[in-house]
Amino acid sequence: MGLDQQLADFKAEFLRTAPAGRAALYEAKIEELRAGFALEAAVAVEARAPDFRLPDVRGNPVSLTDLLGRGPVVLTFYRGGWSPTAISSCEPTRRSCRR
Amino acid sequence: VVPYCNIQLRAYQAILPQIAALGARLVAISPQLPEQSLATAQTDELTFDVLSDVGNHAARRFGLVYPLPEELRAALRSNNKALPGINGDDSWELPVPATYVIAQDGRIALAYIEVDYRKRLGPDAILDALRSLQPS
Repeated sequence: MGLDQQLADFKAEFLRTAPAGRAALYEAKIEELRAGFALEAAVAVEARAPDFRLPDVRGNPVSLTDLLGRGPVVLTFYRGGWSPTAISSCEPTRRSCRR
Repeated sequence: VVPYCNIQLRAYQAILPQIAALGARLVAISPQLPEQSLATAQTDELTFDVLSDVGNHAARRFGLVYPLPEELRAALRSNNKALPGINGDDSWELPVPATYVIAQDGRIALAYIEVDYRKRLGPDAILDALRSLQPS
């Protein structure tokens, strides 16, 4: 099953099981963001990718410059896995938490 | 149930051999704390780089950051997914989901930026863009 179909299935399941009003709220907020987000200010095709240097899951720094030294890079920004098991052991005010 | 980001990351993991065969690397970035990124990588069995952009500094340079509206903060709190505990700051900021294919010279060959977080760039489009970068 392709990615589009998996995403559509998850959306359908959410619409079926979500608390009353939740789906309409999410829909409205997506449209609000579409109206308010400065898409033209985002880095686009033909631009030069800004460099970054960020820790991987073992704490080792990884920079875009290093990655590009070996070939093209597929870079995806995602919002988070938001794993409930990990969250339950975290205190909101702490910088890090143990699992 | 697997939320949208996990569905996407697993679909990209599935094409990792093809990405590697085209000489490229796959990297995922979120504002989650490293421990949370590790949880995501383990849950989704990801073997590519999963980086932690705490504070959204990298995402900001790409122009992707927005503050989550108050109504959605309340919804996440009620789902036990309050962002301060996951991301390690009180900003409630997130990146708009985006996927880039970057040529080796740093030029962006493909940019997919979609405020509707329920839509993600398909794996085929990534592989097509990588093929277009192959020396002929």
